Amino acid sequence: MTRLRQTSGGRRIVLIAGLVSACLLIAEAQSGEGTSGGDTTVFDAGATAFGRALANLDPLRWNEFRADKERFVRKWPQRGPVADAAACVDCHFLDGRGPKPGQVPSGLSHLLRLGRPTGGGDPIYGIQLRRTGHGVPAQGQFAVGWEETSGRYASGERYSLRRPFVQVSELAYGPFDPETRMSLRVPLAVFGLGLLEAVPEPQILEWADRGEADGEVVSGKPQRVYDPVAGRLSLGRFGWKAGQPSLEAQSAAALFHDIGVTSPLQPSAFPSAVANGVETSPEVDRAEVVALAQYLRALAVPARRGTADPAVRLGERLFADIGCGDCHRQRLTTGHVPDWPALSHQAIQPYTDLLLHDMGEQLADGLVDARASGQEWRTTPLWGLGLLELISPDAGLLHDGRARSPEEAILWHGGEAAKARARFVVLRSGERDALLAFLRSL
Amino acid sequence: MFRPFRLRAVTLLPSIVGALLATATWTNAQSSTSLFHGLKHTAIGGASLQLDSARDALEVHPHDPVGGDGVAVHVDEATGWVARLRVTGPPASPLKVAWHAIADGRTISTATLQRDGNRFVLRAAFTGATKPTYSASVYNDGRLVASLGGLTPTANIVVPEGFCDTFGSVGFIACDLVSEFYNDIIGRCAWGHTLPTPGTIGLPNGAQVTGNELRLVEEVRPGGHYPYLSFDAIMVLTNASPLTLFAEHVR
Repeated sequence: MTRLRQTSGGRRIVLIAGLVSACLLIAEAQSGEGTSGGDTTVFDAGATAFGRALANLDPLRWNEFRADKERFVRKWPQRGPVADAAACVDCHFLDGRGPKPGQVPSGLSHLLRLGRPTGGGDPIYGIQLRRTGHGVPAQGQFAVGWEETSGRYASGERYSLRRPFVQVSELAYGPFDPETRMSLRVPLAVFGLGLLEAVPEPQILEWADRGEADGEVVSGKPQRVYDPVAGRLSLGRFGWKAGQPSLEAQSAAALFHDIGVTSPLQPSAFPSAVANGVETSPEVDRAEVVALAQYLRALAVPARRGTADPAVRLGERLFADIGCGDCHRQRLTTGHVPDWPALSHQAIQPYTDLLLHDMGEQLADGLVDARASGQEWRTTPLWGLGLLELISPDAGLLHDGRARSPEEAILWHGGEAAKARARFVVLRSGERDALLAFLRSL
Repeated sequence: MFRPFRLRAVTLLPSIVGALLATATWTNAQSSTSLFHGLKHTAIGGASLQLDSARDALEVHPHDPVGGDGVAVHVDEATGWVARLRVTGPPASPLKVAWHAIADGRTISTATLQRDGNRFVLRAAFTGATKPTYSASVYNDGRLVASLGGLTPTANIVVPEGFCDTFGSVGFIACDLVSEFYNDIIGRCAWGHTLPTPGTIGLPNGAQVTGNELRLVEEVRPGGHYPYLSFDAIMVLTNASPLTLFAEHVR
């Protein structure tokens, strides 16, 4: 009898706990707390989380989405004459931030940007060193090494950081220009971009203006870049330095710089290819670029996990308290998107302001990209951060993948984020764990 | 409806002899990798592979009694795989075959066929949808006779073992079927199993229909779905003794 009573009591406790959990989940769903992409949010914490269609996708768009994905995964026959990849998925496996683990040369987890402090790329090699050639020699090769450094939290615990160094070899067209600087880059994930593209410009500029007027240390700067679609300067939104204003421009640039495919939006061949007599007429028409952009536009954002966890809630408060949220803005709202009602008027939580910020000397690469200086980087959206370890385990965080965890990424923050970093370093161990639990919930 | 036993036994005799001979001599012929019908096959777990050029067959000899061994068929970005196979097992054994479709290094769909008394239970699981369900359609000689949607991975489709042959004095069982996996034109995954003869198939809603072909097709709700375009490998795990592949095609 005693055992029966205990079992019955245990069942009651389980039942009550279950009811409480259910209530919390309902409350979360009602508050929209976990739905990072508004109505577009998908509920998937697995390997396919970054590759799903918008949850509210118009069924009429399904076949288009599937067909557009074929372009994203296929090897482009027109690739070359020099390239880093053959397909978009070579660098965005599972729509994430790197190649398929163990299936491609490890070097594909990085690309090497080239530029000069005054802007522009290397006069011979352009803005990127391409490691394969089709009918012409590859531009060169590079290897990445790492230097370990260490530090200590205020509470005494040690931490370890690593910094990359690059060794270039087999340069096919002679040495770089003396002014040329190198910047190691890892790919960015490609989900949720349609929502970021749909955020009205004034909403982003409002934060830039307010920061400067307040005289605060944190002062976001809008990127301004040439938009080949609109034919004028536009707000830059995509890429590590917000160098691309739209998904069409981003797709055309990636096709050209990474795969070597020219299009009407990126018609010119590389200087080194021109020197070899390579034709410069566009290899694909604009419809191909539009299709790639449409695929990116239709990729959904995964929902947060564990938002009711007390540690996650504490971490969320600390994230705001120590100043992370000054740049990693939680909430944005999309505007009206013609032909895309699914993306329109969505309350989203990307944790970015899409502005450029000075991140300090430690992260500086010395390359100027339009209005972005060598120390300035666009605030990286944090949504999906907790799933990167599963989907892109080898990619690393920050522009060159040096951070092996969100904790290391925070510790590399400097410049406008130096105060936030300093506040993080003096948190107690349990508070740091809570903050990291919050980041893993995104 | 079913062939007379004598004919079955005669039909099966070469394979029985072949199996016995193979058992006696297979240490010389076994391997962990084989090229069969132009496709690379790799043994999984403790299984061994044995090519039988006389029968144009590939035998898979697993060791794990619970079905953890088998073979991986490498198809490299295929959109369809179909194979004619035979599953052989001792009498009353819990014979089991599990097919796994692999893409991007992970299982994207499974189908399992497990003996339960004098019948087999067929189940399937898909991963494209966030709430994955599938439909089961039964065909009889190409004509649709029943279809049921909203099935979950725990739904049981019952297939009587009448399509199998028994042989030998103790009643070994040998079941022939054509198994298929494909990604269709709108991004759904699907399994197909065709039996040599029609039988009474039990659907999860209790319906009993006569048919010889089952199509299990992932149900796509466009919003939130993950479109699979191709797959890289099919894994067939089994405790059969042995599992024999007679023909395979990919597209």
